[in-house]
Amino acid sequence: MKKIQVTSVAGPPSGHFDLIVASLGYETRATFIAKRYTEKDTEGIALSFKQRLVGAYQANSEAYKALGYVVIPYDVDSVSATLTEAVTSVLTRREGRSRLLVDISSMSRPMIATVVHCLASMADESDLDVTFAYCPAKYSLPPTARGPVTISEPVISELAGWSVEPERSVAAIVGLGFEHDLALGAVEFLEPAAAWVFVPIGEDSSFDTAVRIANHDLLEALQSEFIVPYDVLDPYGCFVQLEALTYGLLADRRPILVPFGPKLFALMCVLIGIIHSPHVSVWRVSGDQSDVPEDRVPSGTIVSLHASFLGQRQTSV
Amino acid sequence: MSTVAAPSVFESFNARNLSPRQVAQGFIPPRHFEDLVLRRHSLVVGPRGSGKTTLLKMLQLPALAAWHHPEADRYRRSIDFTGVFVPADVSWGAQLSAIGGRRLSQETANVLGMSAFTAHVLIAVADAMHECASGADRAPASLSDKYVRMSKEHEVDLCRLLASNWKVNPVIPSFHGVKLALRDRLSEIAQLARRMAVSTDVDPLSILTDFNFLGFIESTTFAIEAFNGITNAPDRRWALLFDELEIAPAEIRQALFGALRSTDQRLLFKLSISPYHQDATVLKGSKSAMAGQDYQPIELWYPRKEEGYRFSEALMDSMLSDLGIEGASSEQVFGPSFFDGGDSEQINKQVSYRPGSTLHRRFISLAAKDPSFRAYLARAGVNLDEMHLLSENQRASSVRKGTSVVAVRDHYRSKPELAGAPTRVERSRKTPTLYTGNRSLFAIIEGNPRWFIGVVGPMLRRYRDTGKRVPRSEQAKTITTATNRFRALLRTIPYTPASSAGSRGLLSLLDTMGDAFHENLVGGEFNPDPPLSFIVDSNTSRELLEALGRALNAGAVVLASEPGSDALLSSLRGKRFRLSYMLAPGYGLPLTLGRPIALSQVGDRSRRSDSQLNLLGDDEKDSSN
Repeated sequence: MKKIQVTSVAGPPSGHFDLIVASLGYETRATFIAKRYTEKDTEGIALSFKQRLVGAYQANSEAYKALGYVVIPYDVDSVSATLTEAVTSVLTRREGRSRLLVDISSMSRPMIATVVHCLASMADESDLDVTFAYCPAKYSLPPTARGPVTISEPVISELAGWSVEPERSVAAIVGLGFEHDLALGAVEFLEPAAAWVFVPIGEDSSFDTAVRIANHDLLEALQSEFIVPYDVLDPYGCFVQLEALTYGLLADRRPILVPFGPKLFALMCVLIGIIHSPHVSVWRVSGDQSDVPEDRVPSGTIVSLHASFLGQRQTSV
Repeated sequence: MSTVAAPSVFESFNARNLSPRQVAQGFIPPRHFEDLVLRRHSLVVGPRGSGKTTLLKMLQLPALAAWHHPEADRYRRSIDFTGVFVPADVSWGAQLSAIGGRRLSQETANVLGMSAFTAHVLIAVADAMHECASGADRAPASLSDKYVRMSKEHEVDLCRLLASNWKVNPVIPSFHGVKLALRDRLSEIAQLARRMAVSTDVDPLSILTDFNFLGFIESTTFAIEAFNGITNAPDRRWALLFDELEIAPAEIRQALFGALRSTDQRLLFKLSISPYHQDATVLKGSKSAMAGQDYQPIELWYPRKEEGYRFSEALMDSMLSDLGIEGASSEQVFGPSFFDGGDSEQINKQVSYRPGSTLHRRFISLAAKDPSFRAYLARAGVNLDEMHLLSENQRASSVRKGTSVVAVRDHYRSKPELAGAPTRVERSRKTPTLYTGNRSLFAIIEGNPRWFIGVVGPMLRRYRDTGKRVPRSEQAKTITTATNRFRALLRTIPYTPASSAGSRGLLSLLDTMGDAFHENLVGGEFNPDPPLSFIVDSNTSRELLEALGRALNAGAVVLASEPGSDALLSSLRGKRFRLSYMLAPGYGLPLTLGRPIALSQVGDRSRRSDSQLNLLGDDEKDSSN
């Protein structure tokens, strides 16, 4: 596995990117970043969802075609190999250290985990500069739905974790979203000895309020030292807090990260899960997919987090 | 960094996260403990939070040694085996299932999963032997025969034998060294899995080791033979205590079910599991272990709430004692219940029906607004002002059995209004004080130790701090919080519906049933014995059966079977269930078992009107994430 180093980068992505990896789905914002950052000699890969081909899917598909992107169906069983091959193919045509931009805005959490794990698992010695970009959506009323949960499991099997001391107690770190009481239910389901929650504070106070309302009971039950607010517009600051907390728990607990809410938090959890693999698990708890998808329109802001994926030769020093 | 207990109205009393000594503090032996300590295989069956883990952990030497209770010495002397506790949790279970991702063949994944489980078991065996060989100084006299004083030389000899049989290479031949070596094996298993996942053309047999094919029962049997031999105690018995079998992979579960047929007296198996499991059919075959003969089934639930009161009272007394309060009754702390609480003595008392009593006022109130209740009283020939003059038999047949229904109906039916006004009170998210009071609290908590300690604990501390009865508003608020947390948990239980007509999660299913019972009880004609429980009939779909099974395991529905029925269910058909009383305040139901009806008759009621959505939220679905 490549060694991952997360660094601070102020503001939105900048500079030229050799490769952009994005997603093709029904959200309007899926192509927002690709359209802005694809240049003449930028190559692109779009991971296409296979279900819910509604909403802006067709328009996004045509947009990626116009940009010259390669579309790869997101098939859980085969996407890792296909993606690795596609990325390797692009990067071998480049000289020097490659710069990648990964747009996670419309990716699902398993997709984010798959992409990050793929990049970290590439066996070659090359170093990758990866900028993860996220475009928050314009605020819309949170779903009033409290539909059934159909999935409670590790986000991908590679992030299930592995402990040589399974008798140790679990510690849960949960990122809050605005799905009503879902975080509370996840804590109850995992039965940890201790739990922390990370509360997003974004550019739109309507989101913040919706999150607090949806998680009222859990927040009421927690002592303040277990509630960690984080600025959605400062992902590196959040990453530092999250990684430090997780690292501290490794001494005597089995940390489980459960990222609800902003995709950036899910990205951070995945990065930490891989950095501290196999001692940290990353889980997802998600609901039924048969409902009508809700569109997400880009707010216009782009937030980024930068990570260097260092080739194996460097880790042996 | 401080790691204070999990944020929970159920507080930190999850035995999984407690050491054996912590579990022993304040342990109150329920009636089931008498059966569990017997020298035979046991199958402890109960929903989440019912105390399975606590009971198994209490069978370990450190817990027994640390236990202070008037009955502790008696139990310590009666237990003639040494317990080896093997823990489990959903995270560990998920890790075993996910090993190698999707890239390994099922066969290879099974071998690695079983190998990891074996390492886990053998670590627990080594741990228990270590305690047995070194903990004598901590042991009370009643437990001294369970401990040995093992010399360093004997420890080295034993550990060398274990290492040889278990295919591990401890750096130092000690219990600690053997445990470390086993942890190394766990680490190796993960590395093997990763290697095989990447190099799919590698023949697994070429890189798997002998350790990967060890059987956990054979290895444990060897270990106890070795220990018994070295300590010159050939008849010493051991018990493997496996917790939460529903989390373990299927092949492990089936191997353990099979072990219940073992007649080797040196090694007992005491297993804990949730009530419903598809592969419980393993226990139904002609060659399977038989309940009552090969193993003792132990059921940790109370179909009737009265059965749990004694345990609840004892637990409360213990908790009060820990707070330095002696002699306070539950009625002093919480006040009496507005429901009859099933206390037949109380409800039988003539004084309870006298004019001006709480019951009498409630009956009068309902009669004033409910014509069907007045008609019922007329048919029964009951004069409300003379109920106290009836004989006991007359009261029993015409009045007593309907008191809970009267209480709920009176609360939820509004006063007689002008024509056209609504006849029902809109249910709110808050718990009515109707559900407060000692016996009602005990009923709602279902004798579930985890709920009990988590819900009652804070209120007892308040009682200690104020010296006054806990206000009913406080009790109601606590119940509301507990119910909400339970509902949040129920919502996360995965349920994949098959119907294309839309998704219905577990909670939605329970809400449908609860609402249907409430509508019938409050909206229909007065019935002193309304349907409040259901029998799973043959028309029930497979998906619905699965959902009910999950509900049973979570404690959301309770099996209302007769004693002697199967403790572990592979099929729910023909069985009778009721909704957990923890959910009753939210649905506006009395705390009684009620008459059963067929589940298909409960049916799929039409959606509630918007005005009734305050309690449980709407039925729309989450967006995907």
